Amino acid sequence: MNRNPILLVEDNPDDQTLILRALKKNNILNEVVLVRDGVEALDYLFSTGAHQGRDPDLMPQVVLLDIKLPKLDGLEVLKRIRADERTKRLPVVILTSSREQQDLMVSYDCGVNSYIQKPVDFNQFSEAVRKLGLYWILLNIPAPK
Amino acid sequence: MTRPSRSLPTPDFRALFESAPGLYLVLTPDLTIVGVSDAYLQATMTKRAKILGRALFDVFPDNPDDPGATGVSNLRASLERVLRNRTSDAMAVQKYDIRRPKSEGGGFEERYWSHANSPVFGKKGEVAYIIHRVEDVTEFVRLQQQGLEQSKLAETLRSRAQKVEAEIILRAQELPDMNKKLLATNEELARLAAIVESTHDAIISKTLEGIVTSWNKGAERLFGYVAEEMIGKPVSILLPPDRFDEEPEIIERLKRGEHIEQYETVRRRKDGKNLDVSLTISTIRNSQGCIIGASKIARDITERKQAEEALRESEKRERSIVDSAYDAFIAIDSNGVITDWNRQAEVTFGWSREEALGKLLAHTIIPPRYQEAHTRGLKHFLETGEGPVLNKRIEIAAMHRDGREFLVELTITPIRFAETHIFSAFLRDITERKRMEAEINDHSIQLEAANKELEAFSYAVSHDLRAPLRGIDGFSQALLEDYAEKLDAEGKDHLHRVRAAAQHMGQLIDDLLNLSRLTRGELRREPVDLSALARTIVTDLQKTEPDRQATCVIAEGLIVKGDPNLLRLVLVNLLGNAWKFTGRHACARIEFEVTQRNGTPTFFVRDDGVGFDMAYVGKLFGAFQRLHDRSQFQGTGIGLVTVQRIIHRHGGQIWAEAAVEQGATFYFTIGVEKTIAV
Repeated sequence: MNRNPILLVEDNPDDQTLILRALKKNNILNEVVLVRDGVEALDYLFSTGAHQGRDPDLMPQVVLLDIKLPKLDGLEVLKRIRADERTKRLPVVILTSSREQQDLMVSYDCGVNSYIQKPVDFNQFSEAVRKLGLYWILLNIPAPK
Repeated sequence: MTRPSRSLPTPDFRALFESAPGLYLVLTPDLTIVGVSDAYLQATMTKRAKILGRALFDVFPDNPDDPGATGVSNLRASLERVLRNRTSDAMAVQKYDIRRPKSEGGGFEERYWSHANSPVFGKKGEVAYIIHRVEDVTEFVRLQQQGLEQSKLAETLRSRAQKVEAEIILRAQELPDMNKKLLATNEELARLAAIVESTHDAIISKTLEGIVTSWNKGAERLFGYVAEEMIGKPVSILLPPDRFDEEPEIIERLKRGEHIEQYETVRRRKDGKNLDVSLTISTIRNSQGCIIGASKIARDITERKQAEEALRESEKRERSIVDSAYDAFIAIDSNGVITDWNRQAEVTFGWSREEALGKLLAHTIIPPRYQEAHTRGLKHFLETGEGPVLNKRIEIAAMHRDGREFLVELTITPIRFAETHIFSAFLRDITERKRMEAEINDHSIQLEAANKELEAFSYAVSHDLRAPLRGIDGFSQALLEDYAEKLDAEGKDHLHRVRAAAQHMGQLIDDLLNLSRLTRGELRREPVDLSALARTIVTDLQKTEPDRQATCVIAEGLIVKGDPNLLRLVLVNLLGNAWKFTGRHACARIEFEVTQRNGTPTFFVRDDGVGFDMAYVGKLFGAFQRLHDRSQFQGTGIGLVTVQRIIHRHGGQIWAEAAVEQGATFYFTIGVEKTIAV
């Protein structure tokens, strides 16, 4: 199993807990790096700010990105990821409450790899996280460095 | 050949000539008398010394007492012919009175003459002299006039036989020549006559008294009278009663020697119909130059007049159209001078038509700061044929007479017109429209703001209201999983209810968002095959409960014009409801068909399920309204609201008929013009 971390960008503590619970429940044992806003997400990816000194070559297996975030929203984070040579091929999955057409269209326009709406029903949510983990950690082959 | 004449003495030719028995005058080309025979002097009661070296017509003027005297003019014409044609010219018997010497009482004596004039050529072949030879035939004529008895006449003639005989021989020799000339003249006359006869115009001649003397075929055609009816009659027959004054006036003008050119008037035909004619009238003069009549060419201009009238009518009509136009209409010439200005232009710009015509456009409606640009643009167009403002709708500032500026919408069209250009322009004061546009714009901005707000609200609902529900559901589930052994059955049941409630609210939020989405976004209009849509939906429904005994009847070829996604939602809801509310019956029948209601194709979905009490039909299409217990039938109460909103957005209607346990029928229309085929 690929041991690169999963970057979870999520500001809602309940969702953080539920996602981590769902990952654990589904035996996805990769390290989960948890950041709470868009700026911190970019700091982590580019080894800047609070994440200065981090090995910049170690990229996450997948980024789970919420849209509504403090400071810099998820769509803006996505644009910066795609605009940078180092991260432009990084798998990014939007994981959000929104099903607004606008969000969907902008996300895909910006090159998101997948878009998942968080279901209210935890069983469904858990199932979604299981499939997501299975797919991006086990099945998907990332771009070579 | 030698001639013996040299030895002969030269005769005195002058003496010989002067004593010759004939009556001879010798004239120079300028008609001065240079020689005369004694016989001539005797016959004309003159003396050689008194006439030699004098001008012919000073010596022999017309008799002033005879107003009809033609002697001088005829003789002059004959002599001129000799000079011109260089041939002899004989004249018919001519009355030419002779002045009687004072010694014999003075005055004039009536005389008739037979003349012949012959040229005498000089060394260079020029006409050096004219020999004028006359025969006094006064007696002969007088005898004839007096109507003397044959015998007396014969006797007198006999006594003069010798003289006349010689005369006849001479004249006979001249005849072939004369005939040839006559023939040529006749031919010329015939040709002219043919022209006169064949021309389409009426050619009439009349005396100064207005009596018709000739009348050609054209005149017959034009006026309906034949020549025999008109010749000798007054030309005033042709005058319509209201124009009786015209003829005397024309005669007066003719008498003054005026030539009347293309005088447009009205004449009456024989059949009483009036004709528009154009007259050209010239005077006819006799050889003395006296006006003795007039020739008139009349041309039928009825058609032209009618065309002119039609043109005037159409101009009048155009004028009234232009004047009644709601837009101001202005035309200018290539100098920028106003040539047309309609009523609305008067209202819009404050200048009356009379004031505006002839003024420069630049000085009337163009604000001073644009005047130079206007002049430059006009010049540029005339030089290059280019004009960026031409042939399209533009908005530009214009000026009222009182100096007030306002916006006009303007179209200028250049029209090529006889080597130059005119420019026609329609202008409309758009002050009010601009104000309304601004108002609408304000409203749109407000509406847009409201929509933005609504969208932000929807977004917040979508995103923020769902997140806590996930917490409630997720942690309830965590409790159930992690603390199962610490909870009794009731505790677990409570938690299950918490979860169910949270999930239901999630569903409500989703449905509400869908509903609000329906009112936003654009409505597509394209052909939608409702039959095909319905078949797919029913197939899906049957898959969910394959064991149910349900007969589904779907009419073929129900095609409408509308938004495919939204119409799909309509059928999903209606067919889904039909499926749901027949679920408790052992076997069910669901139909989707069309009928005509008031000429409008009306679609309906009918089931034989639980139906509902028509007393509650008013609640049917209200949001979150349910007619059935949720424990019996699942649902959020949003479905029919959604359906109704979609139908209304398509311009259609929806209603229902039902009875408890006897099924329900939902009817809907899409609007007549949106239906392609049924």
